Amino acid sequence: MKQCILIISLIFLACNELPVGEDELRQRGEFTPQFLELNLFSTFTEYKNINTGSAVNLVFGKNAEYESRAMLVFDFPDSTYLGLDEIRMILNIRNSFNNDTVPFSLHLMDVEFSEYEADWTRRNLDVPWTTPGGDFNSDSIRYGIAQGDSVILYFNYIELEQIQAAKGIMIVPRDTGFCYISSREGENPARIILEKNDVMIPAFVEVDCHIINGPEPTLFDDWIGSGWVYRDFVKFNYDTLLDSTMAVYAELSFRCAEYFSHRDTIEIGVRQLLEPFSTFDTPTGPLIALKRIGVGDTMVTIDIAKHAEHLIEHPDSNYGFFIGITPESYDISRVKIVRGSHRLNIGYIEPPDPRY
Amino acid sequence: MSIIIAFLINASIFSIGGIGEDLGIFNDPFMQGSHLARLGFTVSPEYMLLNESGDLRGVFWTNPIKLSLAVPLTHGFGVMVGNRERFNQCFDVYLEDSSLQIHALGEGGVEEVYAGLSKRLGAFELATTGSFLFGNAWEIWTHSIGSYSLVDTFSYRYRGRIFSFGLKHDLFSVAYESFGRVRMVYLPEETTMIDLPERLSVGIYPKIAGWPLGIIYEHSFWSDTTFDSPNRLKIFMNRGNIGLMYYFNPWYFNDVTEHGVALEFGVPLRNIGSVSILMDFAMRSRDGLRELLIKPQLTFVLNELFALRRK
Repeated sequence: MKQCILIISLIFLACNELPVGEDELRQRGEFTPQFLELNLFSTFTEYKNINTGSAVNLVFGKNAEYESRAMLVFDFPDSTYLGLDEIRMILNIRNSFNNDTVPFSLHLMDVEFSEYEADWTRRNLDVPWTTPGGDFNSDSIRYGIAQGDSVILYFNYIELEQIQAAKGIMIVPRDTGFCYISSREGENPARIILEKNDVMIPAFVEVDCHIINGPEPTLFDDWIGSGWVYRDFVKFNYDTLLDSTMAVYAELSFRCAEYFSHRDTIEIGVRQLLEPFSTFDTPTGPLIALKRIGVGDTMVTIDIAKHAEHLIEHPDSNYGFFIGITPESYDISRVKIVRGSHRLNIGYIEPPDPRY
Repeated sequence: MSIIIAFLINASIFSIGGIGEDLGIFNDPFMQGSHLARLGFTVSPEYMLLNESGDLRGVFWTNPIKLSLAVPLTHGFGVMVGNRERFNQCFDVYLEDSSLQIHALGEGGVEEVYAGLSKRLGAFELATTGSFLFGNAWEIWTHSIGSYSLVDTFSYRYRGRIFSFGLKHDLFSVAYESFGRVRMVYLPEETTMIDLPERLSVGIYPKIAGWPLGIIYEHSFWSDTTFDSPNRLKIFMNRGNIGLMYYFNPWYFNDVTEHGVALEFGVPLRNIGSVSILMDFAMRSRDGLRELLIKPQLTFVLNELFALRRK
């Protein structure tokens, strides 16, 4: 019996992944790995002042380069209220960001805006603000300081009626620093609590977005950014050595010099252009690569094998790709890429032949 | 080469070429002369041990169950139907080439459903079968360089047919298989017509020292010149419940040779049928690569349950 167990054990010990019979596999191809670095054709930065209506965060703050203002419209269940004990607005600060202490003022807005169209210069697609940065009453109804986990502001009846009558509230930063609060698309959005006899009536935000103004890159800057969005256009020359091969990997690498972000990590994505580059809005395909990097990393590598596969299958459609921060409306971040540091190294093989 | 212990399931490494391992060799269209309807089930797991340059690798595999039904009719006619594998395209191979590692896994193959008709004419049996060939196969190739991997998949679909006919006497038999053709669709769209080889099989069945002996010579004719047209030989004898067999099977590609011996032990089951166990040992080789096959085959045969009506 012991001998049987020994023999059976030996049989199953031989079940392994040894490359026995490699020559049989080579009937279907040579399978010698080849490596190639494609030559960089061009890089430059495109930018756009995007709408942030669907963003999960609202940002207000400013520094020497950026300014962001948040706009809120609340949905009040009733038009008039009597006998209220307390009226307070709560803004929940997102602790996943490295927020600054930010003094701000609240202003009533004079005109309506479109949540999904407004930006720094326009209140909707057709109508610009009278003043870039939003049209609001220059007299603020309240000052506050954003710090800690939340901001609570108290109002009286008169101010409540003004808020109800206004087209919205704008949060305008008064000093440098940035603060992130939840939008209605995120967790725990802003709300106004109307308290009467220990009964609390919430008025939730029904429209919100933030509008951003940011710096323009020079011709020689390679930037990627979110909020005020920068996309780095990159194109490598196709090499005919890749004809009829199969890319196992395509390692895109570049060096990063400067970061501006209130996060510890950011995600960098790559999208291929579907047609020759024309503008920031040149149509792109879905994300072909996504990589989370630490803010401060000096070298980034991303596998964009799908781009290499596309080049091999459609060498005439080498329109390049955009590198960007993903999602583009999540926050205000920017990374400066060292110009000329882009590399694309490809490892490829001849594909196996079909069976017959 | 480092040894990595793992558990694997699959079949002959040589089936990576051509259209796979030919499992139709030594098949014949005859009903084997029984006077009872018979329903057969065959299970045949197999274990293979690969050896090359001192490296050993084991592979375990279970083949699909084979069914067969043979029914004698009136006036010496008989019909039979059944299924079996025709070409096996399963393999599981690893390759290491400097920084590149490949794992190629193949599954599936070409199956066969056959129907046959035979007629006894005194000591002779005339038989013919027609087979519908079908099946799917797929291959998953995983290429890895460093921490990067790329998976490539091949899919094949097969449809085809083949016919055979033969004449058998107690002392000899002649069978010929022809008109075999398979349409291979290399998904999604590439189609290839494969002409299967014609196959001539000649057998003689003398008795030596009281032992019934069978010697079958077989030759395949491939029209595709990339393949060999091999000569095969099978010698078997049986007495009572014991059978012994030797066969020589050079494959149709790449100079693969196969020598096999098999020992069969059958036990009749009273009023039910029989059960038999066949232990098949074979050695396949090409250059320095050897594959030792251990293939136990268990067959149940149920005789006609209403056989008593004949009494």
